[in-house]
Amino acid sequence: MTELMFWQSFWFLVIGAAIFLFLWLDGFDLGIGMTLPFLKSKDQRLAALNVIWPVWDGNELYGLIGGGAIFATFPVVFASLLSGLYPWVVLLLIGIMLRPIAFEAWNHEPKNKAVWEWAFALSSFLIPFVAGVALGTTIAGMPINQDMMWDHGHGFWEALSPLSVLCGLAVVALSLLQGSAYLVKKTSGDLQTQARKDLTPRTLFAGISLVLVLVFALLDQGIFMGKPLAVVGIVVGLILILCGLVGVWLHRDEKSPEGAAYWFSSAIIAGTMILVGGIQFPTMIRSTIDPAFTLTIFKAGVSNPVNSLSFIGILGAVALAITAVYTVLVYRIFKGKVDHKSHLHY
Amino acid sequence: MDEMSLILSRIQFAMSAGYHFIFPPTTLGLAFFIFLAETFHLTTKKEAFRKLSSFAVRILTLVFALGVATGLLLPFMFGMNWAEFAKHAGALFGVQLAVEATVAFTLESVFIGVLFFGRDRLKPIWYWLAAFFVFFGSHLSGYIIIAANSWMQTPGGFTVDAATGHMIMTDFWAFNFNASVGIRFAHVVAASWMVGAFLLVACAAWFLKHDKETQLAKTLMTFAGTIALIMAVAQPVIGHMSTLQIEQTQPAKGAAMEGQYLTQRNAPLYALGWVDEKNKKVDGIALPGMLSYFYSADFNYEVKGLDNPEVSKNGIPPVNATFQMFRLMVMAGSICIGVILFTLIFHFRGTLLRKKKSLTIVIYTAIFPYVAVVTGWFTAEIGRQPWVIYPVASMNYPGLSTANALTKNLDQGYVWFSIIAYFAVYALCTVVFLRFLPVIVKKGLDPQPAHVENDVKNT
Repeated sequence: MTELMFWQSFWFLVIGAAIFLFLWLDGFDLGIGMTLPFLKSKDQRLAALNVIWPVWDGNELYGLIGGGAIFATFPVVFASLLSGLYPWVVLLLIGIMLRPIAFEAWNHEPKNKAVWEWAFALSSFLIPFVAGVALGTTIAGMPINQDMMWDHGHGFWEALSPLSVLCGLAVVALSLLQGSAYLVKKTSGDLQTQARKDLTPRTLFAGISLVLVLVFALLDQGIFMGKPLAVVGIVVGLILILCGLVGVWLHRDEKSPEGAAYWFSSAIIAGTMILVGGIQFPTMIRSTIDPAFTLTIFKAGVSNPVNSLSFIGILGAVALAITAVYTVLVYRIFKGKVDHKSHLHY
Repeated sequence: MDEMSLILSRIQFAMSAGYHFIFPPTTLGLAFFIFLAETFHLTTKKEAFRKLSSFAVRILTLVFALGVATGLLLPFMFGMNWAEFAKHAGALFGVQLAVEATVAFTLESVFIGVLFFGRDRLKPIWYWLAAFFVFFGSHLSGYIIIAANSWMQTPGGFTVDAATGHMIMTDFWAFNFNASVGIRFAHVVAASWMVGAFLLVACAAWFLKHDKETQLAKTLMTFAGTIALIMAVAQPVIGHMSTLQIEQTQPAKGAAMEGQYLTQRNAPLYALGWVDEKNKKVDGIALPGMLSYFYSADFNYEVKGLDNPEVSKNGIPPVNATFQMFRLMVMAGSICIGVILFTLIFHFRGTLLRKKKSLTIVIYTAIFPYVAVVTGWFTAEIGRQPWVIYPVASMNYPGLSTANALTKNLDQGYVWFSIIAYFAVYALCTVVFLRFLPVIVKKGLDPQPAHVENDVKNT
């Protein structure tokens, strides 16, 4: 393994970590956002928004950091993924733009807040679903040609394989579960009771969708060609996922510690990322045209002189550390239980 | 290559970047004002500064959120519409954007939250520090983005990999301290402080017009009006220095801005005009010799025109568009200087309160700094055509043309879809901004919390 390959693998890990942080942290606010209009009372919706208010935009930032890291270290992947999935990315961007607009409008709108709650819910659904589809497409494969781009003449619907759609649903399911688990941790009263009730169906939804993702991946032998870490990833990932699912299931009642479900739910997300990372390494995007066209980290990585790559590596590590400090700081400032009287007003 | 996809992609990017750029300058301007007000509050302990700072913070949260909403899609567009650019320059440009997101943007967004909710929770000195971090973070973020754009105009710090044709970073600092970034950042910061100050001047004028909280409104007028005047007067000087820089590194852009087809001594400056691109001449009001004088304080200075091969070796941008955008920017800036000058004269003579109609003019003048900012960007970006990344002769770098930066085989239908979708979101964003900015302002410069009002009513 050369030093260049080391840095390319390092960046694969960093991007994976950023995606994990995105699913883990943004997961709960997306999950809470998606079902916001379905909460029964004004006070419940207000309390739910108060839970996510201080942190949701910072959480979303990790998704962008992941995207930025891909742009910086695998520009070819950034270009072929976004231009290939163009119409899907537009949907993702509508979600990303609509969210802060809906939130601000909700905050200032004097009467008719329901419209903005639905807009917030729609955007909170679009982001995880399309992000999941995109992740699934890199695993299931895109028509990548010898120019390392989406081959002209293949329509955008080719992104919708059963596996990629299931991945989209799985990310939605994980976000929903994470949302309920976080509400149990952060709220009290009838909202907490409702969140506890939601844990059971959402655990089931998450479990089934993850099993289906794995089954459909295993049906396609081509996915595992040239993947040295696939077995390790699947075994370790599955253990974590199973522990997480069972843990949430066991801690759904009122006698359990309030934070338990959240941490077990987080373990499911960690397991999922280990599983996906194991199945993917060292591939970034699989080609459905010819395995030789598949974009691996060694093929698509920036061929920077190593001193520059290590400089960017250190820069990235410092930057991520700073971001982590901010995140921890904000969570500390706003720690503790939240209700409808905390920050915002209806 | 699909000509229509290129045109649509260019319109889409101009629309998106231009629309986005309404919000960041406002953020920078308000952050500067808040930092100053907090500093004065800390040193003088005067309550007025605290109240005005809190007023600006309330506006800032809305502006910042909409700036985030409209800014997030820009980096995605590089991958979607400009994939060849992303591949070619990603190793530098992508790093820059990732650094912006992690280092500057996070700092800014975290501490804006602290500014909004932390007044009662933090000691004054810590609150002041939060205001400083918002000021520092937003300006650092601005610097990193302006550096990236300036790098495209005056590239440096890279080599091109012979095998792939993609750029390789050789020097991160040469990227960030490229030839044009210093003066261009100064130009943007001055414009931003103008934008923020004129917005606050408009708010002060609104309160004076409606005889509400006049004492505080007068303080705001003095405070923001002074910043507005200083920046509005300083901006032409900074802008002038920027044109000198352009003449050195992008002479074709400079010649297009001034409509100079001929290389000549005693070159005229067109105050107004229309460029006849076919016959290569300008019809308009010419001030003889003034351009030569502006460039070197010497009427005999030879200004190189577009007929000079040294100037036109890298191609010629759309001359009339560059020319007109530049004039629109200057006119908008001039209106700002005139209005703020008269406003402050009346204000300090104490007669402003009586001039209700003039106050309406002052309120609407807040639009002109935005006009100047957007037309200024159009000048810079149309003027660098046909290049996305400008060629550098000394580095043997041939440049990347806009046409070659476009995604290959980009489906025209995709671009129609995205351009309509983005337009719809921007329309919604505009509605939200125009509807809720007045709501926030009209709540008052120093609104009483709801429960206090109720207590007053009950007693």
